[in-house]
Amino acid sequence: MSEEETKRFPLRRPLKSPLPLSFKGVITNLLKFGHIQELLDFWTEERSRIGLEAAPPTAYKDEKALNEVRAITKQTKLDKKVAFDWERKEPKV
Amino acid sequence: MNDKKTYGLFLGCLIPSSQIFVEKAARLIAKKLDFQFIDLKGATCCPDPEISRVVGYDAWIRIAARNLSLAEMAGYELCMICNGCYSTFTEAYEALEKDVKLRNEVNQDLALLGRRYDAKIGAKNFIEVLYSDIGLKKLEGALEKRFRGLKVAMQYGCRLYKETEKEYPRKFDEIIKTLGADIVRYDAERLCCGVPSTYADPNFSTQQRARVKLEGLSEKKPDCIALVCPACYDMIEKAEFMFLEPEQFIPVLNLTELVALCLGFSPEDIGLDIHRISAYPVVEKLEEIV
Repeated sequence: MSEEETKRFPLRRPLKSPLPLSFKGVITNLLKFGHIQELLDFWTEERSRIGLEAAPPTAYKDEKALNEVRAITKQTKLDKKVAFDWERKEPKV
Repeated sequence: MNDKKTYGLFLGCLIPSSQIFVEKAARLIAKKLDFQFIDLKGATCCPDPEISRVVGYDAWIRIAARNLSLAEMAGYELCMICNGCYSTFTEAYEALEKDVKLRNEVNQDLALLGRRYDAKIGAKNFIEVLYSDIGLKKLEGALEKRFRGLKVAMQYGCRLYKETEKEYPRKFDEIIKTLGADIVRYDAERLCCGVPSTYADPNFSTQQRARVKLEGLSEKKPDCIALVCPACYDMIEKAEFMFLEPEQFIPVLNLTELVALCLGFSPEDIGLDIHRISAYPVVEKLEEIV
């Protein structure tokens, strides 16, 4: 954000850590799944039952898309803000 | 040659992973009203306009630009059935369209992924697609059923008020009226459902937002609540379980479901049984058009 925008919209300025726990979950899911909500088995079954593809052609099943999002989050250091452990795919704390 | 109007369908996160009846209904509407949804392959979270933008603006604008680039490369305008995603893409598009320096910076990074976004294609709200692109006349002509005596309380959600010139609340109302339903007004109609404040103070958000809204609604005894925002849906449904007795429950339906029902699709076609608060009382108010 530009300095001028930060003055006009102070609540939109980047947060300094520590990040509130309630914020961490959203970012963690974004890094893990490429979406802020996991697609559970229950819902893939329900999707099939009502005639939808079991998983939509998004990061839920598209590994390339997921990797591209992860690359952006690494490049912009979003992963650092939740102290994301890429091996465990969970925040360190 | 296929001359059907075509949109890239952007699903977001909540709809394909828990409100699947909205996705199903939207796809059925497209078939019936003779337009086409192309799945946006490789899409991800938009990302969300509340947390991701605040925590990491640089990541937020780049991921949004990447999603928009998928539609731009395919040559389709995006159709949004999620208000949150619509908000993200509208704001990201405006920022990238106006700020050339920012667009160049973002494109430098997208180039590493083999992508580029020139801000030529933005996003369109599903309300706009129905109201302006398809048109109420065509919608009305395609209806097989209409509601009779259905009292609908509107939950517009905050995002619909952000672009006043587009008059989304009025357009939403007109679509609902075209389906034969009666709109009931209530005091807390414009009150936020409470989702954005949940992250800061869940107690405030449920007690001072969702609960106040439900109290205002209960007085009017609507048959259902109509909305277009999956976040509002989650919040209102949760609040009903928290603050109302089962006999007081008010069904919550997305605009897509109400339209699909009137276009003649059955509750089973849509997956209406998936609602935790039964939506079947709404079906009972449908009448065949003869």
